[in-house]
Amino acid sequence: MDLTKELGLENFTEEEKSELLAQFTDSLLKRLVVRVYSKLKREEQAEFDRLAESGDSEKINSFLAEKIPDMTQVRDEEVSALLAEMKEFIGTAK
Amino acid sequence: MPNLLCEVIIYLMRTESAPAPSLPEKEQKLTEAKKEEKEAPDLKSPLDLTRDSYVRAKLAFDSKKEELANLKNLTEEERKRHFEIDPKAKAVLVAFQDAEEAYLKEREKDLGVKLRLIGKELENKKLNKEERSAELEKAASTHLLSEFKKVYDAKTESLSKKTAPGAFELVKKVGDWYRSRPLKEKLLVAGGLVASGAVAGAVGGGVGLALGTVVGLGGMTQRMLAGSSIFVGLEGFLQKRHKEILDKKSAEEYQKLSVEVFEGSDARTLQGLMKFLKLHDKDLENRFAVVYEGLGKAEKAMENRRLLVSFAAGALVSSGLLAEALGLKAEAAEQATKPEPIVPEGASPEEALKAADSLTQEKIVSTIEKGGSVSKAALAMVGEGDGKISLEEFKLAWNNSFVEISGVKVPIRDVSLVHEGDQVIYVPGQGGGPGRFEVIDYVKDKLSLGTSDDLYNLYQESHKEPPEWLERAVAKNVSEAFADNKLEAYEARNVEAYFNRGSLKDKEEVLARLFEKMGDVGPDEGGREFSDLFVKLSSSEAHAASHRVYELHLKMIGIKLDQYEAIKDLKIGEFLEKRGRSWWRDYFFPSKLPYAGTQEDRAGEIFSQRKLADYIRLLVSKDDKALTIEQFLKKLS
Repeated sequence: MDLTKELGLENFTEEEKSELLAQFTDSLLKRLVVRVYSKLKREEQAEFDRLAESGDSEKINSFLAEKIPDMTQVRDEEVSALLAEMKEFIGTAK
Repeated sequence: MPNLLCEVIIYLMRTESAPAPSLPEKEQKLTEAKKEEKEAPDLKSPLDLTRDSYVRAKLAFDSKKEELANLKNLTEEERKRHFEIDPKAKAVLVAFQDAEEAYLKEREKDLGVKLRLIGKELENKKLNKEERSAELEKAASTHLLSEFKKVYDAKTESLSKKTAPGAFELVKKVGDWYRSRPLKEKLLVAGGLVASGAVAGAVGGGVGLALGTVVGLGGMTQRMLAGSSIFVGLEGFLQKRHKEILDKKSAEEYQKLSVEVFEGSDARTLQGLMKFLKLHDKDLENRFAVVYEGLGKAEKAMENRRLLVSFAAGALVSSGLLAEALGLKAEAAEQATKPEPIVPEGASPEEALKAADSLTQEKIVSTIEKGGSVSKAALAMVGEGDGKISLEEFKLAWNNSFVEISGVKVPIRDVSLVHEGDQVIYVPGQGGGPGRFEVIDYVKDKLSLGTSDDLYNLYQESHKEPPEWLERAVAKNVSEAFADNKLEAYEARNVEAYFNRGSLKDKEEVLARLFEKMGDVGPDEGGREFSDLFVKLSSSEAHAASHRVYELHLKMIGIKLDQYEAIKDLKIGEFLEKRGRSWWRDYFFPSKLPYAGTQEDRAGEIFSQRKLADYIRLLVSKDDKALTIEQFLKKLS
């Protein structure tokens, strides 16, 4: 599946497509943060906040790998959901 | 989006009848609107207001989506009865339908206004009909996608407030950080996140890695992300089309960025950077490697404009990746990592000893014991405290160590001809760079370091009888001891010598052969000698010591026993092929390998297997690929 073809963006230049990709990534990143939180218990959420504050990406990565071993699946779900929502949204314009 | 274009044209035709405000009038209205917004920042446009209502209604609707979807299958009467029982469901549905209608109306109006403005601008460009349509269609797509993002993000904001107090703050922080990054860095993160199985054409990304990296917005990480390291770390995850954009000036830009990061940097920053890179990307094929000449030589390095940071200098240089990445000639790149000889060529044994003494004063030294080997002596240096090196330092140095034999550079792992009393020295790297091991050969017979086979062949070619210790080394006598059913005393001594000198693998093979002989030959027919030797060797300190070393390997690797048991019978070649170097491939497209634990523990078990694979790669030579993992580790013991 090519994102740009799915959304009829063939006329866009590479730079424009890159900007779009960056925008969607911004949205996806934020949604993933929410999903991560929703999968953590309350005390784990507090620990995640502390790690985020510390800025230690190594520890954050270890934490995520331990607490959310199905991160791939979460990511895939959110990407699929984002694309599905986008298509539905665009469909209302047709 | 041809249908959208039709709608746009229809809308424009509908509104064409009413005189549209001229451009200057429109601009004036926009300026006034902006002015009003400044004075009353909370005043939202009709589109903003209807969007907010739409998002709220949509979230409520989504929570009841399944239930409401089932209503489609009911008759009108059944639906009516359902809503009487559950009036809330009806309220949610009606609210959503009303909110959606209002929002779509405002959205259409807003799109129309924007397209009219763009249409006016296009008039000055003298485009033909098709070109004008394409531009309008593009503008419509952009507007729609921008609107979608606002709706999607508004939903995320709502969800974050409901999930946890910290979630909303972190979401805002992540968003602010991401939006402040230059496009190149945004795309790097995109490569790690969006390039999934759901989007074709790209290699998969490290989701946890990308997210963890972005979430970790502390000082060191921010500095690294601002510099070249994220470019290096995630370069392999980029989609091809984005790589084309970045590759135009990649080598030149990377070198420039390297200078920015390293010039004036202190050792701690450099070490932090190296640690970050080491931990996050071990995939040599996919990353740029920058070989560092050493902080001690920083001035020279800066002069030459060749700042090099290495993690596996030998492999990278020989693969040509380094030279290709930086546009350097291969010889120049190799020159940067060539170690200076400790013992000059042609030195006499006395000179060699003197040179070795002067160099070993502050170095970490390990002496090869009777029956020892280079790897055993090097591994003996691993530990905690003074005079010890870490496992990480060992790994880096082991990959960075070569010995010259007959003018040929041989990886240190292939050096097996060493003698009791030879020394292995650990030479620390400069300024955080990798160290290396060196072997000091003190043998006075002028035989330089080489492999056992090399020397055995030399004796054969010279039609000379190899010395007894060499015979033991190549295990010829051991085979002869088991050739018949009688074990002579000298044969038993040979087997014992071989046993003591050999690895745990050799020891277990000897014990297995002795045990077999015990079964074949009765005690009265000469079998007693075999069983006496079996008992002696199996309970010997040499055997126990080898077992301890074997267990130390497993401890150093850090793999759990049950996880090791699940894979120890795999052939090395098969294991290394399936448990690849690429982080993302191992986690997102896992190969069929045995596992001890459940699916929930899978990520942790893959992590342990990767550590084992990395460890094996350090020490394996080409002849070992047919061995099982257990046999190989026992061979090292």
